[in-house]
Amino acid sequence: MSTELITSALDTPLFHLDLKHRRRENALTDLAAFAHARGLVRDPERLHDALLRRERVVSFAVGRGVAIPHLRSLVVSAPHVLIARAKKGIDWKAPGGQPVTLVIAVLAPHDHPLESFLERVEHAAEATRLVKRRLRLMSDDPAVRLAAWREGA
Amino acid sequence: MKGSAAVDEATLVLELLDVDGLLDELSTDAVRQRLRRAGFAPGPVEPLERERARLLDSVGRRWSQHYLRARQRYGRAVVRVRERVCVGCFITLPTSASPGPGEVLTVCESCGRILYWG
Repeated sequence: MSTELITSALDTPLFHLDLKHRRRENALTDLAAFAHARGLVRDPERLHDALLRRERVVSFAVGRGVAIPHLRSLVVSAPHVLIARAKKGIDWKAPGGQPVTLVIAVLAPHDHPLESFLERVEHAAEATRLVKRRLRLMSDDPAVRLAAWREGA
Repeated sequence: MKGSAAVDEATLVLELLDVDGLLDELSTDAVRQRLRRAGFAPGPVEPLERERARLLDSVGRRWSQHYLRARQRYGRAVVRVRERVCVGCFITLPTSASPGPGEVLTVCESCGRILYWG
């Protein structure tokens, strides 16, 4: 799996390129392991389970080939955003059945302010509304991806 | 909490915390509206309420009492320990307050919150 880490500004997302899995559960496992490897999550298995629990009430798939897993939990050490693309598409049981090709995970510690957390989730949703911007978020060029994420922030 | 039973019970307490966090968030109309505007479709929270009841039944009496008491008093029953400080009441914890081997939860003797040492 090819990965890339950019850590310069407070709100800089971590880009996790190329999710290989086609099943939602495996994709979430990959994202949790990626965050854990960078010290952002204490227990990747618990994070995975907590994400699936939340998804039973709020599906993360928002259509347009996009999923936005989002969660505040004690197992998350620091607020962060992970952006991943899945070229083959993930079967996310999305509205309309469209496979998910772009995943933006918004994670925060359980005591992180709700307002700030929701703003990040809303920013992620807004960032994926237009096709052009989605394509830029999945670009091979890190500068293009970062600019696409920061627009309107 | 001792040994693997301690780990299992700690897992249940932490799951309970997660479920309560979700319930607090997703039972709020303003939050649900914002999520809907962002393109999500929040469903009913009854499955979470059922899970909460199951977890409360499964976790030992001692921990459920600590949990419910702290939740009623502070809203958030479990807090992290950072550099030997309870993040709930900011008291420095004595060495004797450390959890035993394989344990991740204790109770803050100052505020009564459950401390997560993970």
